[in-house]
Amino acid sequence: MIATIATLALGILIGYMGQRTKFCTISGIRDYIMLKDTFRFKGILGLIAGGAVGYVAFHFIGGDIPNFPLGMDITSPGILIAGIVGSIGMGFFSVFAEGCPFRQHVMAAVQTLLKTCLI
Amino acid sequence: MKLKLKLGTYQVFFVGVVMGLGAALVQAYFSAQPPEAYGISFIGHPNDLFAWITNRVAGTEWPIRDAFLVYPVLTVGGVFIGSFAAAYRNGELKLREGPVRKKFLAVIFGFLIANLGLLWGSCPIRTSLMVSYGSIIAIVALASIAFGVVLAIIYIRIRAYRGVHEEVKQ
Repeated sequence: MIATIATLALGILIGYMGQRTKFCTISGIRDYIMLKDTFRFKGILGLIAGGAVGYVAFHFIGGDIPNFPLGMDITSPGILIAGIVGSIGMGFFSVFAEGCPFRQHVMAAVQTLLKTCLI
Repeated sequence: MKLKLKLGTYQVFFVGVVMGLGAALVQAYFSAQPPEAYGISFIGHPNDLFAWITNRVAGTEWPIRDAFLVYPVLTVGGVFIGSFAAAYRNGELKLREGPVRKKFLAVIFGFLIANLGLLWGSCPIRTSLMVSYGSIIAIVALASIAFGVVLAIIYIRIRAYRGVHEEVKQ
């Protein structure tokens, strides 16, 4: 129950902030490669930095952060190949859909009929 | 009193930091695990929510992550509420056409993104969180996502180049 409420609260917070700032991981990478525009690319850097600080801090103050750091978690070549193929495909088609899955959710909630179709 | 944080071009960075810290917090103290780094995922959470609903309504037995077996994961609902509220508060709430011109393409792209995301098991946000968690395969996956974006840019440039040349010929 507590995880459900926590995810709902976190969802509301990031949904609100994501709508205001147009946060998008795929657009961040795309803008940086195409236009050398780092505005949205900073979002990914912030995500990695925030996650790293959070996981390290909560790990040391007694939070439930098991198997940290994960390290070499490649259990079989099949998983590695599936990961690479899936990630390349997701990156490729997300550019044509104009955003990462998070951005699709935000846009569906806000304004776009077609995004609802897409989700 | 209205509190305004002046972050300039770093506001997206700030949102990323909040997301990262929030994901770590819900995992560490609110039991949003296993698997690891599962505080935010826009492939896994919708999948779990859909499976939870269909298991309850239609009696299916689709697998759900352990953390959300009894009660559903509501990140998706939260994002809908949060972004709807933000848009309403700032007068941006209106229906308009999406960036994908053809409706059937929107459906196909959505289907492909969801299935390819499930093949890897994470959205780009959770992949970034797994990089923070120290996962080597997530670093490979994040590099692969960037490579996919590069391939799409190359494809767009080739299409644009051909389009310009055809116009010149005519």
